[in-house]
Amino acid sequence: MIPALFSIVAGVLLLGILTYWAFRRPWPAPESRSSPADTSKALRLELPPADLIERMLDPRDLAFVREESPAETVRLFEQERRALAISWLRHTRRQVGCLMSYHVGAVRQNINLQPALEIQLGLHYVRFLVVCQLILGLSYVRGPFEIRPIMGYVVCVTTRLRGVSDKLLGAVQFSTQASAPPPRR
Amino acid sequence: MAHGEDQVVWWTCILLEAILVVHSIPAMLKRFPVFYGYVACVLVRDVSAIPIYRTWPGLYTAFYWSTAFVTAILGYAVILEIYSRSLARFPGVMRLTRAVLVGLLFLVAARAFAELFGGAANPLASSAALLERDLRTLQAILLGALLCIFSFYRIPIGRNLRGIIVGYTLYIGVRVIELTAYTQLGKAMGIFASKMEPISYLICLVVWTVALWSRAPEPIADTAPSIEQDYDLLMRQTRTQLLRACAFLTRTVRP
Repeated sequence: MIPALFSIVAGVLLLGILTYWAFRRPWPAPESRSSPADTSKALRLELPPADLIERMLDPRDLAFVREESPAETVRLFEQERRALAISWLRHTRRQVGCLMSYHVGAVRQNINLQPALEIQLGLHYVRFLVVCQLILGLSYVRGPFEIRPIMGYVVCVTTRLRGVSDKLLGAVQFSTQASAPPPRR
Repeated sequence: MAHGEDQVVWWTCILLEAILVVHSIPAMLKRFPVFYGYVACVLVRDVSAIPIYRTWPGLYTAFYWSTAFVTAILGYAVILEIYSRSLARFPGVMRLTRAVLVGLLFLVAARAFAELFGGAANPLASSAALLERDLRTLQAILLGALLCIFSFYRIPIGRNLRGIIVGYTLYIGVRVIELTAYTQLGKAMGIFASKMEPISYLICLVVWTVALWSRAPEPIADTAPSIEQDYDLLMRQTRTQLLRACAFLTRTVRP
């Protein structure tokens, strides 16, 4: 029965992947991404100020509001903090998405692309996206203050992603003629 | 489906296969020789099946499964053509894809050997249908991996090749489900699935005929020369930004 289940899952998954691939948004025209200034902009990871999320999800705030205010205010407070946390998370995801878009565009034609690192990067990226979705879901189910510990995981994955991407981009840097190290005299 | 409707689907499929093969000569045939070879083989099989079924009905089952096995093997050549055509301008991704496909083939071979020598009740090739199911499942895995790589690296694909990929993937997906239902999910499910297969194959042939009717230009490769020229500058900038982002994130959620 297991091989049958495996085949059914493979068939259904294949049809799902085909649907996604066939109807996905097309890649923008080369002209729109060819400018170094545009690429530089896409690469810039503009994240919100460091203290913001820490301050936003501080449990002491919640404790204070619970002590001092009626239930309606607590609800409003939680609603606003949730919106802010979600906005922070979406912003981070968008920035990492831009970085990945640039990365795939830069490395896909490069003969020195390293498959092992690429697979590692892809897995990190998928895990990052899954965790982001999970946190978004949890923020609705359990409230914004409960997701703070899991945010640490996003950071961990983002850091790994950065590490692998850094290595890969380093490899690409010396594989193109324009950026090759100068010849020895 | 009534018998008459079955006949209509059957003859429409043969007609479309013939149109595809005849219309491909000479321009498209040079471009996708393996794919057209595959369609020609299926056409010969379908046309030969009719007199065999009428004259020697006892031989029909053996004929059907042996030709199904041959076309399943030819399907691997089609996947190879899709792989080489689509990634010809992307040597880096081609290398990665090769590694992934070889890895997947190794995994599936290991699983098959484990089943064979582990004394499993249902070894790889206990019957023709099971063998074809396993071959098609492997194709489904390879095609799924290819499509994931195309999506991740946003590989631009022209209309002709896109049509081949969409049609063939659709056929393989449905065929795997149909063969599994036929062999292991009971008679009722098997009959239902076997009714679905000709319709999905007809859709696949319509997709191929439309997509391959005229020669479409290959999409322009995004070589991004200006990006390459400024790569040093961008690299320094990226590293600085990434380090800054990392420091920021670590500081933000430190317990």
